[in-house]
Amino acid sequence: MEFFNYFFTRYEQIGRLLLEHVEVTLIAVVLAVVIGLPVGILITKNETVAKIVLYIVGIIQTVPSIALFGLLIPIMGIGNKPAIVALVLYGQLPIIRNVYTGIKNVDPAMLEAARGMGMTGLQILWRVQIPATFSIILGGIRVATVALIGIATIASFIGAGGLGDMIFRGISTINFNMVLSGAIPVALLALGTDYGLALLERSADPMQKSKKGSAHKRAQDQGGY
Amino acid sequence: MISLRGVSKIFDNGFTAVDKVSLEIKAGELVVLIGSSGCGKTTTMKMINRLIEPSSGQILIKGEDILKADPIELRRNIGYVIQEIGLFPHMTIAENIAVVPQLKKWSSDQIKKRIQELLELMGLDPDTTARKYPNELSGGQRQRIGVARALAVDPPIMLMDEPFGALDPISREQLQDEFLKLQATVKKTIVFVTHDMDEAIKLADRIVVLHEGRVIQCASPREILRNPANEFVRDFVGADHTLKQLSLIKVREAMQSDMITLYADESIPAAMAKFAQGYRSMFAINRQGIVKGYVNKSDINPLQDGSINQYIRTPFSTISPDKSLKEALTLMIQRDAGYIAVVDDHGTLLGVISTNSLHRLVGEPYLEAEREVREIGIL
Ligand SMILES: Nc1ncnc2c1ncn2[C@@H]1O[C@H](COP(=O)(O)OP(=O)(O)O)[C@@H](O)[C@H]1O
Ligand SMILES: [Mg+2]
Repeated sequence: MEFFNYFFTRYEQIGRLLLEHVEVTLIAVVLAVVIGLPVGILITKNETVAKIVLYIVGIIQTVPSIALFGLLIPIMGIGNKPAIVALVLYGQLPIIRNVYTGIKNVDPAMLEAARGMGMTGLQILWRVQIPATFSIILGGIRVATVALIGIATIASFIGAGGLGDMIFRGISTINFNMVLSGAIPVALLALGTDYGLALLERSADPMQKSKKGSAHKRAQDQGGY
Repeated sequence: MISLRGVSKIFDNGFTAVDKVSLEIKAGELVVLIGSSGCGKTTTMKMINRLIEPSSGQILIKGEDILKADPIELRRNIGYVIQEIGLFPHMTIAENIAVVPQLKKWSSDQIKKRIQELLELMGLDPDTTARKYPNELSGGQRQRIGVARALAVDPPIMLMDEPFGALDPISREQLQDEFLKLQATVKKTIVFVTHDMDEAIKLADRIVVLHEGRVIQCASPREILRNPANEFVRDFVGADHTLKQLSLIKVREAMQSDMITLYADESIPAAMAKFAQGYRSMFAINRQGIVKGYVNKSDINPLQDGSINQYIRTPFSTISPDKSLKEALTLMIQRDAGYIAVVDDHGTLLGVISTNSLHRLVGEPYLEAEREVREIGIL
């Protein structure tokens, strides 16, 4: 009861922090996609380069976020800019990896048909490889987004704002109502985003495509009815 | 239409997949490339739309060197069908068929009309099929769409790489039959790859037998069956080459139409006079020419009054003149019949197929002497 009181008397502040959180994450995700998508596509052209790039983004992933923020402060100071840079770096692995494996695994018969029909390399990319891989690419974006919502919480340490502010302030003042007022919205944001993007991802899966919509088929696939 | 002149393909690893192949393909001709796996069929075909570049030699289409043409434009004007079909799963059937017309910047009205036309041509209902996705169709239907997609801009040339190879035998036969009918109307110049001799015999105007990248024999199906160029071709054709020949010949071509027949209302003495020429049995027809059955000489009592109607035996086997001799032979074996009446849709007797007619067409010469038996009113 006490918590609800606390929460509702501060909902404006919480709402503002939530918005900040979404803003930082969204900017980071968009940038991560703008960088990751072309990189993922380009590295399909060369196995060696692909190995190196995937290795590097893999290493970035293993650096603890606090440490990465620490490394960025001397270069970029504090605020949401270094936070966004860090988030973009963390978003690369799931996005690049999914784009790369998705495109690499497009059915060779489809590519052969596309080439045989007289599509150019770019047309094959945009009309065949990317649409056929769309759900896998979306899967990478979903994993990245959910992870970045979490990491953005920690980014308030270096002044990025967001719901992390409430959590950290609540911890240092031993105010659990304050901690929960930050933690619960973040958790819901992550879960909601995951669910929404998962729905989108499934509707983009070519194997689920049918005229009647895919609900019926999916229920059958999952042993329903 | 298409000329290959001393075309070779040596892959980067030094392997010679195609070795100085020369071939002239006429407009409207259906040429089948056949040979065992790895003999270079696919490589030869893919050089025609430049999915593979020849190492040496020249390929001309309508007299123009294709190596001087833009490969993208070249491919848009050549229909291409592969065994795996390669439909795009994220596109509807209509969108799949529309790919090349869109690349060629057709208007959307024009594309819509063409999709409708092609689906009808393929025996599919345009209203229900157009909006479906490939994974909603059966294998046979998908391959029909594969063919429709290749025909979309009505290209004069089609390349088909084992298009029916992945289908079950029943769908395969069905698609082959449909394809032959289709080809009779569209008259494309087709290069068709298969490793199935029955398919080649059924479809080809000309068969090109390849072995280790070389052309071993290039001839009509009948010629390949009758005179295989060497042991390799003979083995490839198989020990049942005689039976295969039968599948190539229509009953109409092989039947004997100069047989003597009886009228059902003919008098017994008149009938006996006909039998006296040395026959053992004859078909009996009515005055409209409809076959009623057959009469055995041994059944007739010459002292009896009336017509021979009372001696007519049924049932008897009939076949349409458009069936193949293979089907006629199957019927003979099934029914244990030495002869079959060839009749049109109304039952009018057109001729007779007997074991003799089979021998005469495909039998070995040394059997000639044995064919003296006079049976069913056939001279
Ligand atoms: N890119 C390639 N590099 C090297 N060898 C190849 C390549 N493509 C095909 N081959 C070889 O060339 C031969 C002919 O291949 P192909 O034309 O596909 O045969 P098929 O008659 O079965 O269609 C095969 O032995 C195959 O292994
Ligand atoms: Mg092949």
